[in-house]
Amino acid sequence: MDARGTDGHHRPCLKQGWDSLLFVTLDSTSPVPAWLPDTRIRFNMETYGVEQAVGAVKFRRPADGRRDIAAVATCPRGPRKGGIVLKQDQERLFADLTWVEDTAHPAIVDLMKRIVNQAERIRSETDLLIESGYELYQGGFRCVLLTVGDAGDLVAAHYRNVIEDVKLECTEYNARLHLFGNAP
Amino acid sequence: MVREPQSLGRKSYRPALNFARELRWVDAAKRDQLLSNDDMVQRVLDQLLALLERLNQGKIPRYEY
Repeated sequence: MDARGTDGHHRPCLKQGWDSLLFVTLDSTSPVPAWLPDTRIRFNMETYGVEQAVGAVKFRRPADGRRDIAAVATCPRGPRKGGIVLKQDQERLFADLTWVEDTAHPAIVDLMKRIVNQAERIRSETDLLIESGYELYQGGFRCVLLTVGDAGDLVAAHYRNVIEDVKLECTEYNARLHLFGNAP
Repeated sequence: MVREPQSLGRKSYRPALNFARELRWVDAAKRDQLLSNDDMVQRVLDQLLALLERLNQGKIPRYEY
């Protein structure tokens, strides 16, 4: 729904009641539309994240699943403003050493661990011979997955103090690759 | 003689933030979707299994040591 409330999300509410309506604020600084009563709000995406938003929507859906849920993101000046703010935040955070170390770095370590864990699970549940491991490499991380035929995937994310021109590359090779050391 | 392994293919992803300012990934070749770590794990393993399938079908020349 835009700031004028002009689209069709209100139609299920006219039939089923307003309890099915959930408003989501995308950030904590933008004002909410004047027509939106405080008592009808809502959910703060910035604080609680997408996963919690999904939980809030499910919570409002009755067990019989018959009632539609209208989850509406409020964006007073239209979606373009949210996108600009997001891009500005991204540029700022990707150059912020503290954010890179405290948020990006653990997220990439988590990704490497999950890849290795899932490769190990496949190996244990099938007859596929898969070797896997990850390590610090050139300031970022790389993860190696090897199959029995000596072909391998290399997943590598290289970054140092800032996330600038960073890519996560998943490269296929025709031969064995080696890790230099142990993962931290 | 030591030879470098030959690269057979590559998929690239770039970091991005979602509205909750969480780190996500965007497929460099198809930028319409934010991918979570769960999505990335699935994609990486799918890529590995596809590589293995090609290897088993003889579509990838064996490395000569």
